[in-house]
Amino acid sequence: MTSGLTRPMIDVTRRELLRGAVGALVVAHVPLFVRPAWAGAAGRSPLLVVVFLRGGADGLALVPPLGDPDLQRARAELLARAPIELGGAAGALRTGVSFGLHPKFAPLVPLARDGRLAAIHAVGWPEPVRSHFEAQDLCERAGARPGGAVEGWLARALAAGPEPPSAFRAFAAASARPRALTGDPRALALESPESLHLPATSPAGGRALESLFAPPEAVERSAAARFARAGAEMLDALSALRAHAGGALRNEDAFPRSPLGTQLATVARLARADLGVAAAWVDAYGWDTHVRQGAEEGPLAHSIGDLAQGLAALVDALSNRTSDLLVLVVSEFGRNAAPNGSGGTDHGRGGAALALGGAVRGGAVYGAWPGVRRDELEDGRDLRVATDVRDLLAEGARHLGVRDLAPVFPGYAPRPLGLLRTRA
Amino acid sequence: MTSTASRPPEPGDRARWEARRALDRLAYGPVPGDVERVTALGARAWVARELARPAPPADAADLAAPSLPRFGRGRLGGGAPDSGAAMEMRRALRGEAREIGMEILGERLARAVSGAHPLYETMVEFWGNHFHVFARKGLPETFLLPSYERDVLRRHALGRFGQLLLASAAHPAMLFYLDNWRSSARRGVNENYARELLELHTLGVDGGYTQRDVEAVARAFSGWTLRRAGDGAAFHFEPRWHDFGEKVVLGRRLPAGAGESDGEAVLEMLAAHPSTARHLAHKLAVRFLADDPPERAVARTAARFQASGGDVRATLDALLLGGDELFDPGLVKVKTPFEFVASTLRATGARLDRPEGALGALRRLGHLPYLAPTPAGAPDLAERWIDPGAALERVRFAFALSSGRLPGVDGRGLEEIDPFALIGDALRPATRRALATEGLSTRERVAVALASPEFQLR
Repeated sequence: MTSGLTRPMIDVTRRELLRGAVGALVVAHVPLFVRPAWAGAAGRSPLLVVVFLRGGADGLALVPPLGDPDLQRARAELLARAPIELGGAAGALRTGVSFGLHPKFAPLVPLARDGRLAAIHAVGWPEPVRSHFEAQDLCERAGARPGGAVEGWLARALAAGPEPPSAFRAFAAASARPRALTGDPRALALESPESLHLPATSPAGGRALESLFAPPEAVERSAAARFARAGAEMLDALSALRAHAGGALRNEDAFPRSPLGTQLATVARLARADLGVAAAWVDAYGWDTHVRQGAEEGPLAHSIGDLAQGLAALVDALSNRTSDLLVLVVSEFGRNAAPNGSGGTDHGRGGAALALGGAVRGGAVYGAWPGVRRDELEDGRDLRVATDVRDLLAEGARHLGVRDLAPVFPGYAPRPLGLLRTRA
Repeated sequence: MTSTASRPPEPGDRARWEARRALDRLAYGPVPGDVERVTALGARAWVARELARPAPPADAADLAAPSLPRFGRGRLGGGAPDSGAAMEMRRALRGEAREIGMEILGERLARAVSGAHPLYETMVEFWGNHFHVFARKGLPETFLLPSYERDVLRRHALGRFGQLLLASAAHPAMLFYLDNWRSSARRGVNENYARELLELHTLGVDGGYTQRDVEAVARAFSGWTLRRAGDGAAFHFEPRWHDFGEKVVLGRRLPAGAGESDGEAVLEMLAAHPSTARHLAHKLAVRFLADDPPERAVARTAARFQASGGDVRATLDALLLGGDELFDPGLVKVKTPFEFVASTLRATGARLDRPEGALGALRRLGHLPYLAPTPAGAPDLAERWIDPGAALERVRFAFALSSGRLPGVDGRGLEEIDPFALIGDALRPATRRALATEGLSTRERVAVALASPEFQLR
């Protein structure tokens, strides 16, 4: 639980919240546990948004090397014409390789032009893992033992970083809390702020809930106490949300009408409010393109368009804290260089990731480039992993102000990618 | 202060406590009067009786509540993909798909709540999650679900694992979901099914197979595809798509030239493999005993699974009655959202007239059959289901139900419910205080009991 100092104040606001559960109530208190976000010019605070592309996004379609005859040979039918030029690889094994973005990333062109968008290529887990479940699990635990107290890397990064705890320090705009946040005692999963409210009760009903979810003593470790603790966190979060979450966004209409669009709009709304949001997680589905994935058009192009439109709207909505923002777009692995017999691609190894926002040194592709000539591919079929996904996640942890990465990534010393601008 | 929820009960209450535990673990919780009935019989005797009870016919409409006679439909969308008529047809089909989805999920819930065949329903849910297919894979998937539910899950829920495995492998819903229907040696085999078969359905991720095995298994299943059959789809083996070469799977040679039987040989081998026994025993123990189940229970169950040739009843007998773990107060499980919703409806004697309200809550709690986003299905672990957001949804469901605002649910009998009877004997002081709140109405007391930490355990 939080320190004893903040507890009485929480109780005050919680009581008000519960009393007003039926009707509208203006909460006069600014609870102490809600940290004033970026108060004052000097009080800059980082904001990390992780968009996880579940299913293994096809990195070679998202960020193709341009004019590569080997890639042309391997997957002509999957290569979209007229890619957006992005730039050369910062740490390419060979000089002269330049990369593009799938044309459906067009909404991100202004960001790319401003140098606030970068790609990271050949990213993945070092050991060959080709199951979604296993690969996502490894990325999200990032070295922690399964079943441990704090399994999620993002939960550990938040615990190790300087951002003070608050009800919304981290949350997932998703139907469920991801493994990466497992172990964070407060992180909520919510698809939209409206989805988060108490039922209408009588005043007595409100008081009863307050008793029911009185924070259990720290020594009480049973499963029941665990649920009671979650209930206590929930009441805290609701009072914070009620006090601070603003209304609609200026650019609400710019977000795509899709599950991903709704989730990204939720991130924007909470991050704009004074809720002390430091990290947000978004799950995006629809990247497991085993069948007829298409090139310029098709299911993959559609997913990319949805993602690009949503990201552009997110960055625009957060223009008031552009320099705080780091968005990492990452997937559990890439896909085969060549199509399978169904016009799709099967699970591969190295994938592509994106980094966006004012915190990014953009206009480049980071990471070594292993190449896609047949003899350069792993098992003759997959882009090799040249950059450990933990190197990328560590940039996110650094952005959150974590200095000592050792507890965040047990058993691994992340190599700096140089992705972040030096903070003023 | 120590936990009261897991404190061993007083000796005099032991029989009652065991009855409740058995009902919580095997029957989506008690309906009013159940605890007394099972106490009179004895919890172990009741478990034995449920293990021996004949499974109902897979398509029996044995429910008073929503009767859903649409099983057996199965239609693949037709027409040229770009024609206006095809677009219109797709729109119509999408509407129909929604209806089928609602019906099949509603029937799952209604049957769980009805309690006519509790252990059978529990195993239908278990296998449905184990052999998960995703309703939103594409339009045809939903139309294949009624037959999948009936001909795979319900037909084999308490039968032999090998039969169930074969039924799932050859069913159009699985062939479509994991892309095997397009796997052709001519165009390139598709590994999706082969990988999930090894990792999720049989050996388990640490079951001792390699990428080479995945590739060989994928080749063995090349040509296992679909054909149209009337309005629906049926299994079809397409020899022109099959890789007739020799394959080596888990060190065993499958000679060249075999054809359709390649896949069957792989399934037989996998069903009998010790890693499969171990994987399934562990998963069943997680379902019925604890998130981190005792090794002796897992080992015992795996041994019986193998000795019985994958007989589900015999395996469950070893797990549930071969030791004392089922009745160990220290082994606690948290209800999944599906169990929570089913058990609230049962505990309050509420009548489920239409499923929408309850299914809406399950959607928000992220736990609907056929809608888990990955082939792994939904995990059965407390860490997955306990967080502040889940606490809120459970509170909301409890209050909606008890105040009569849950669409499709008739909770008129709720006034008669004793909130203390909902929870059992071991109350946390906080819950006792909450239930004693001055001015609380009877219905709100029921809601508080249903939202209590104690009620979330099974």
